Amino acid sequence: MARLEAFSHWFQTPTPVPFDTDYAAFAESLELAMVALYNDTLLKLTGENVATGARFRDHHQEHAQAYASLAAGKAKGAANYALVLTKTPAVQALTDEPSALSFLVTLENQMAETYAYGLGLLTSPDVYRRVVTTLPVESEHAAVLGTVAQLGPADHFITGPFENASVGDGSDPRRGFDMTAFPVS
Amino acid sequence: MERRRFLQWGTAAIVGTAVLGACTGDNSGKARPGQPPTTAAPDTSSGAGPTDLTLAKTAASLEALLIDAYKQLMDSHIVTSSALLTYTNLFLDHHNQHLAALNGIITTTAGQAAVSDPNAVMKNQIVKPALDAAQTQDDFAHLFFTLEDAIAQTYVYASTAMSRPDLRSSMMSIGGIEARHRALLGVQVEQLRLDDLFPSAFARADNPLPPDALLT
Repeated sequence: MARLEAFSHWFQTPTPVPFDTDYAAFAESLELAMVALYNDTLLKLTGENVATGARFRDHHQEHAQAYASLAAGKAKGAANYALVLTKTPAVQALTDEPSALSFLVTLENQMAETYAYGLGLLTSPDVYRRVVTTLPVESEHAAVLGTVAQLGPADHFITGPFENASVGDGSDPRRGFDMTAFPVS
Repeated sequence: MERRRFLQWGTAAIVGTAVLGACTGDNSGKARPGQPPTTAAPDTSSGAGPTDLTLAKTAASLEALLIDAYKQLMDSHIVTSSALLTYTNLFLDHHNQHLAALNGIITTTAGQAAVSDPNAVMKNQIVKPALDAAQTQDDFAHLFFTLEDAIAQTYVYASTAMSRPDLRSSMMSIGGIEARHRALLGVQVEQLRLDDLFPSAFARADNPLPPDALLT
């Protein structure tokens, strides 16, 4: 029995380190902020674009749930307050469907950049594997929404041939969201 | 519809089911699809480890494959879709830059040469027969969507198995762009429905390649 337990332990994924569970809680809060921002922006969309936006919002809800399960009790189950606060003026300024679509494209780009940066910090397999499988979906959201917004080919790649592994205060669409600027509240 | 239809049935329409046997056949003793190779730590802090090198070289060989295939697409004169031709030029540039970045990773390890040849297994078993058989713009469009689908999934697979955070970040900085390629071709050229483009809220992480396509 002891041998079996030792054998089982050998195959278990290591417990995530504290930074990585902090990151999972951070990611959960960002994803929930995305859900909230999508809900606000859906009001500006019409026709099939409403269904597309709702689908992507639901993806973010699923992402949030996945990160919460990795956060070792640190997840708050609440949208990142700083992100919602930062983006609310832009949401309120949306006047039409094209501007709403462009806003969502920017958000999705920034989420992909956030995760590209985060991967350079994470060491716990369960957490970085979840980030690896989330990032491309957020990139694809940007591409699909950008298509609906009729972006030109190069405009789908605002950071060129690479996702930008860089974060900031949220004002630069070419940078993701910094954990210190967008703390879990 | 499965995202991996490239290897499961997508190319079958063009090259016949015999080719698919190469992707799903028994490969006893080799890494199986869906199971990343065991992650091995690098020998030195400056270089990449054996697993990292295998994955980086394989990705580089796929980039070379895509470069080669897109050039053939441009030379074919069969494709008239402005969307596909526009993206061909842009994606060709991206794949060239991805190849250069991967070779930057590979050659930081002593004794490792840059990769410039297309992945031989994929080329000989899948892509060359498909290109030779392609008769219509739809054939090309479907092939290139499925190629971008496969390479995007390869980066996800590789990034879950690499040993260092910086390498995982670098790989997914490329992988995210390949996913955009996939989505743009899927929506604008293949005109896929969202259900087909997003079968799940998460990207697949299993190996989409024939096991012997991994370079050691």
